[in-house]
Amino acid sequence: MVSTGLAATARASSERDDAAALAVDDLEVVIAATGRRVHAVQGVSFAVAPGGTRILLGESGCGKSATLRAVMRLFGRDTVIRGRVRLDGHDLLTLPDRDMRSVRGRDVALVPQDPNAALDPLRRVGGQLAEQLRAHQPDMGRRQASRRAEELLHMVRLPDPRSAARAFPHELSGGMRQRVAIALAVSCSPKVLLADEPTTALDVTVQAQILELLAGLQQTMQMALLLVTHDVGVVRELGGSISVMYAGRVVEDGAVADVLDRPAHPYLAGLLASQPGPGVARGGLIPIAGQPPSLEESALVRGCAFHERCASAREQCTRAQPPLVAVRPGHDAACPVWNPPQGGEAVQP
Amino acid sequence: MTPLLEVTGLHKTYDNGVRAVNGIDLHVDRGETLGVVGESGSGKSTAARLILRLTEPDAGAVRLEGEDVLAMRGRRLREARGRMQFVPQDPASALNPRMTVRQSIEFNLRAHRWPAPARRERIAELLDAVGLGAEMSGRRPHELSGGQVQRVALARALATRPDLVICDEPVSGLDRSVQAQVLNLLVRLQRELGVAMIFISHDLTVVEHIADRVAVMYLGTVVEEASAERLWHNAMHPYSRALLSAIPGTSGARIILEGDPPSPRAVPSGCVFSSRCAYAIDECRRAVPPLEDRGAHQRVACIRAPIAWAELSPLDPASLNASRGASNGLTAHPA
Amino acid sequence: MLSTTDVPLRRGSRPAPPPGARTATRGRRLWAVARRHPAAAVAAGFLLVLAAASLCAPILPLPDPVRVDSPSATLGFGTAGHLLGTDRLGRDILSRLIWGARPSLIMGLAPVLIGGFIGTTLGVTAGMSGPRVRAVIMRTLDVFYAFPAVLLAIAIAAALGAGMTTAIIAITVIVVPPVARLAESEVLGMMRKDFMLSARASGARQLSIALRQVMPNVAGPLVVYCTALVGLSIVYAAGLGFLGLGLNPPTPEWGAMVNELRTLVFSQPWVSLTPAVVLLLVSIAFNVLGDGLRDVLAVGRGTQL
Repeated sequence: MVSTGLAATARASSERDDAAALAVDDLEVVIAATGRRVHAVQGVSFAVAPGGTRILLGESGCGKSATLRAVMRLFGRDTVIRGRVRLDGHDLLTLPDRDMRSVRGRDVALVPQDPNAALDPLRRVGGQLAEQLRAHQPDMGRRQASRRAEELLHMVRLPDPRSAARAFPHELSGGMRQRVAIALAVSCSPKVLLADEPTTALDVTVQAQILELLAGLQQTMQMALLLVTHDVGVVRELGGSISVMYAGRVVEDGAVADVLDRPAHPYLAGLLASQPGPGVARGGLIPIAGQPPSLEESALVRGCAFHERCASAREQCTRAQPPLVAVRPGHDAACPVWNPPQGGEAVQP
Repeated sequence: MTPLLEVTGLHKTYDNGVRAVNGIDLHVDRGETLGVVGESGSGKSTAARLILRLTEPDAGAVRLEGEDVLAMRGRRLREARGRMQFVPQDPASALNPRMTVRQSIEFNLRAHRWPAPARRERIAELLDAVGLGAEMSGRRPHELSGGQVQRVALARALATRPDLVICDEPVSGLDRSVQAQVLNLLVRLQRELGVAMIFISHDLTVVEHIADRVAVMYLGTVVEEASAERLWHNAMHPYSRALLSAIPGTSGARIILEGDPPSPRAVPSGCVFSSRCAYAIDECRRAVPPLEDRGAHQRVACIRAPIAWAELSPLDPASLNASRGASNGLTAHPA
Repeated sequence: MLSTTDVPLRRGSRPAPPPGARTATRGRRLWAVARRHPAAAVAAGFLLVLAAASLCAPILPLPDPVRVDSPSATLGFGTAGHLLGTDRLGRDILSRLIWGARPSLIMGLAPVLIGGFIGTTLGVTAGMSGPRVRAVIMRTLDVFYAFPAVLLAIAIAAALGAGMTTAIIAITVIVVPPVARLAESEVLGMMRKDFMLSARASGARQLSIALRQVMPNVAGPLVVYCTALVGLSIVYAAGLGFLGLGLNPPTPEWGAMVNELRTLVFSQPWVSLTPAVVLLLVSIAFNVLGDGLRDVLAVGRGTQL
């Protein structure tokens, strides 16, 4: 793993981290699942600037959700998390459980993929919001909390905040529930908002509303946003920085516009060529062969985890995991072999 | 010439009061791909089930080469079913967990009395056609990946050489990189076999990619139908336009609809989209607009289209605010 | 622990075994299952020994189970020649227990086999049919639920007169409704699955769908349930025997034996309890066996026999 290139990026990243709202450094997650140990995340590093956006893009089993959960420390005791997650000069991974509980919700908050996971089905929406507020601000009065809850519901643009506050989650539609889950997450003005595929379970037209809402809240509340998605369209929509993940590692890192227009790793290039859209001839998609490895398999692959699906793979790819190195300023990729075609058009591995 | 499949006035209201399909007309020609796009509650999956007679419609007609499928019984129906096949959505339950790949495909061949040697030959041929090795034939679904399951489901559907395959979200459960493999396979097989296809999806980019013609569904009705290209560049129904602009990552003006689609239990009177439409006038709420031909094989169910677009540019918020009531409607801003 | 989108389906990394391999390793697999479920293995062994003994009863060195030997009435455990003692009429209890196993096991198994078949047929039919046919079948079966099972069996047996056939019919009637109900709910749950939609759209006959697609999926839970029902059925049979609605005396049968030995409770309490204890053990054995089968018949990673 250690190489001069990596050392250089490590130095660069530590400078970057000092200014970052959230800095994740060499994160590893080993999940113990039914007798097996699964290496879900292997040496992931990235930083989110204050008020900035960082997107983790990847497919099933690439470790993107596990990374989010590790930041929030939402794993059981049998899961090993190594590395550093720095927020405000503290390493969240070494915080005592008690302090971590107060960090959750106040400093870092999570919008889950399924809003039902965030909401108690048996309690009114307003009550849940008020309770969350009072848990982190003990001096807040009951009445004040419920007034603030209505404000929050107004902020996430529910058409009638007062009646929404009195509703049970099941009385709201999927899009409205996701708005409530967002209100719950931003209730204590966290510095960093994490979102795990927040629009995947929603209809297309509702999806657009939620993305717009997230971007708007991020701007008005000056939150850093760390968002996990599998959808390249969502990435383009939100912008910011991106970490492309494959088999538990970051394979490409940089600014969204640059990375998507000039991919430097064959996996991302292949993923982009797999996207249908206007201008792509019918049957003219260029898929990546095979399928992404599962969490279990990805730790077993020797060398670059992508080499089995990669058309440009060479013998050296089967030997060692290539490190992330800069291909141009602010754009790193973990592939020393593949040469992207010039001009940035018709990229394919 | 009679189309391969003709659906007229199809209606279905479930016992729980959900008006799933509310009078749709569709047709599919030989070898053609009709895309059906819609959000949850649009009735697109119910429509597929009604056509296949997996659910009995309340009213309407389904004609396969002019013959009324709904009137068929017994043997005639079974034969018709051999000509219309189904590819389901969920890779986790598309195949019978107790059956091997070979048994799953063989079941369909047996149903149409293929003799054993012909069955064996056909299964080998089909596995090869969908890009699966012969060694896959003994596997059970839990030993397959999602992409492989959908390939087997496709092989099963094509086994009896049907004229029409109805695919209900066949790639929605797959990762993009694998999805592209299956989409390419669908296109290639369709070209080689000349089979017609109804491709149902919530993903407009996928539908646009694979379909010749696209029908846009909203709350149990078809609101617009046009060639894929025409829909992409010149959609006329306000809902189609909102759907197109909502695709994340596309450039151009964004029309963001407010609110969620109404529940199919309480369908608005008149035009089903009127409750979310920025251009709706009183007349829209009074009568259901008919699906009218607007030339170039484009049919639109909107009394305001396309004039509305000329008068009220969705890019001009001022004109929008003037036209919409309360909080219902479209907000628009440049992306 | 992880969201569903992040966990891919299990991948087929291991090759399918060659055709011959299946049968060759069957013995070994059976052993592996036995090691994972020792209780079920013990239960199965006990039942096999019992069944073998009852089949071999004529050739085993046992005293005649119906020979009356009054002078030596009611001997206790361990008496020479009478390991488990004798009853009031001097009949050897061990011999009567072994001879009695055959009718008891038959009256346990036969109703479950017949009732299981009828119940499964009704339940699968109901589950695959439209709401009207389903309602007719299931509501008719509900009528039987309205009566307490034991009373129903007694009423039927009493109406038809004592005898083995009568007992089997009576118990069959009790077995059918719960089996049908289980089969129906299993099938109803399955009908919504995508592969059932495909099967129905394939143009296959309903019977073929039922046999090839539905049955392999519902067989597992039904076999498990029916195995446990055998234990219950044996107890019901014994109950009928106890009331004199089973076999005609002096043919040995466990239920009747419980009744005959009832009067010995004060003089030879242990002897009087032996048939009841055997009944209890057999009933438990079938239940434990059912639990073990549940795991063996599970789809997917579970061992397949």
